[in-house]
Amino acid sequence: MRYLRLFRLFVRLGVMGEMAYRANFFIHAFECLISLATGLSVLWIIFSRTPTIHGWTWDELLAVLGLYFLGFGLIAGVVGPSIKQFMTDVWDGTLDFLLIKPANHLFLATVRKILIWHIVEIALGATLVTVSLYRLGERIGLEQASMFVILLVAGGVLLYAFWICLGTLAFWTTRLENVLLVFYNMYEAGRWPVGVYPSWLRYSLTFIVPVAFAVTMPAEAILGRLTWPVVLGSVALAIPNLLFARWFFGVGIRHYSGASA
Amino acid sequence: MGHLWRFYKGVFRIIMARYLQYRTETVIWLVQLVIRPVLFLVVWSAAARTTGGQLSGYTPSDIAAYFIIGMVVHHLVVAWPMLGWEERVKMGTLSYLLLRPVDVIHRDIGENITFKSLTLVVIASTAIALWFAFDASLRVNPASIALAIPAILLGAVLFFVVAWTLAMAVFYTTQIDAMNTAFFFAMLLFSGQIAPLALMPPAIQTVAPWLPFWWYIGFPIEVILNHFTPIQVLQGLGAQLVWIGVVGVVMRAVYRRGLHNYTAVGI
Repeated sequence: MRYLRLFRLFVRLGVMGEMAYRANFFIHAFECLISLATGLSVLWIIFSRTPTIHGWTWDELLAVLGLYFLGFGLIAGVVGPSIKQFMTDVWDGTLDFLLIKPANHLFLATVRKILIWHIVEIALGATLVTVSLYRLGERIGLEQASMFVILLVAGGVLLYAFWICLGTLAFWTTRLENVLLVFYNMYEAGRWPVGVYPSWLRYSLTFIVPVAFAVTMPAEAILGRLTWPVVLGSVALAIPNLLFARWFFGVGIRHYSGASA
Repeated sequence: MGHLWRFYKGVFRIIMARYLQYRTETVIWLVQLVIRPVLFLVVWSAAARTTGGQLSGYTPSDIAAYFIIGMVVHHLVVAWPMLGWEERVKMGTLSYLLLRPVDVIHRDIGENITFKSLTLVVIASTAIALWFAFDASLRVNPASIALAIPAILLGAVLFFVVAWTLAMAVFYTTQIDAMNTAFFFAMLLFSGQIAPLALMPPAIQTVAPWLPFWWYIGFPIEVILNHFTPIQVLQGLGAQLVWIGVVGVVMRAVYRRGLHNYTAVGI
């Protein structure tokens, strides 16, 4: 409960920061709309020539695109900027201010800086998923829906753990800001179901950068293409990953020497 | 002319030193450049396989060749003077550049040439690796390769004048991000980055030749792929020249007006 309240506070801070630059918000909202328009026009152009891509129809790929936007909005809006701030703090020695606060450090490090305009992407992504599910309507049963929710959470957890590990590396090296950019570029690949990629790319998108878990697999689940062993398998993968990330973060914190200490 | 040559040599040395210092940035830039053509390549190949092995005569190998060559052409043609200009005008560093006896445009041209020649080795080896990874195929015709050289050069000039013209908006507004986004969106739709023109919906096929975008990306690619007769190529080079002329005149005009509008604080 306390953490929910803290999170609400961070959101409010984000809104207040943004209110000072209102034109900025609209420009970013415009950019989000353009990136939605890009995604949809590419789909439109490709589907003007083919009925399916690797067995996926237009409506199904709409769900993939929606999940892609949803995931992107959450990362670029909350976890990404917080981790980036965290890394800067480690390098500058200002992490001291975070460490003396009476709350979970991991929580603070990963949600404290919120770029509010990404709410537009999150909203657009959710709309796309809803539209897609509505159009696929009769095919979706309770079983698929529950698989979808489980995978969505598991995929989110995996991505979150991945970002914690990336951020924690800041304790040992300073050449990382660029790695974050590489992640955003790799995430682009999530626009399409990973099945279309050649195997070397598919495996890196599944196990190195967990894009497949966050985007493709929830979409496959809701379309009834996954079996329970796969769903449970990804949960079994998500939990140890999160625990590892938490442990690794702790090691990093202990390794931190501080600015004034 | 002699002093301009010396100036270019100087710019080349400065920019080269800067890029060699920040080598990891090159990796980032490479990932950015590679990811998009690879995605389109993969998706179109999948589409071609669904519809019986080919789309309007493009087999997966042809599609791979189109996008891999497209990646190299994109690299040779596209530049980002908008980013540099935003900082110059906002921070006022333009004032120093204006004091120099050589026009600012020469610095941008020199910087561009340096960056491209430095990274050409990286991009060429990446292209060769992708070529084998995706089993691309190309029937090489020496004549079309020879004609591609002026097509790419003119394409690069055309993009440069278009981008420079857009960059001049920075004299009137501090928010040029939205304009850049809109520009690159239009460019993506009409330039042939998403697909060869033959695979595009009829509406885009009709409109694209009347806009500048396709002439600096799609046209050079298809010249290399030997899709045109020599006469058609010459006509295309003519179209590129006309566009360069028109946009060039506009560029000069907005540049002059923009400079009049420019006020630096603290001088």
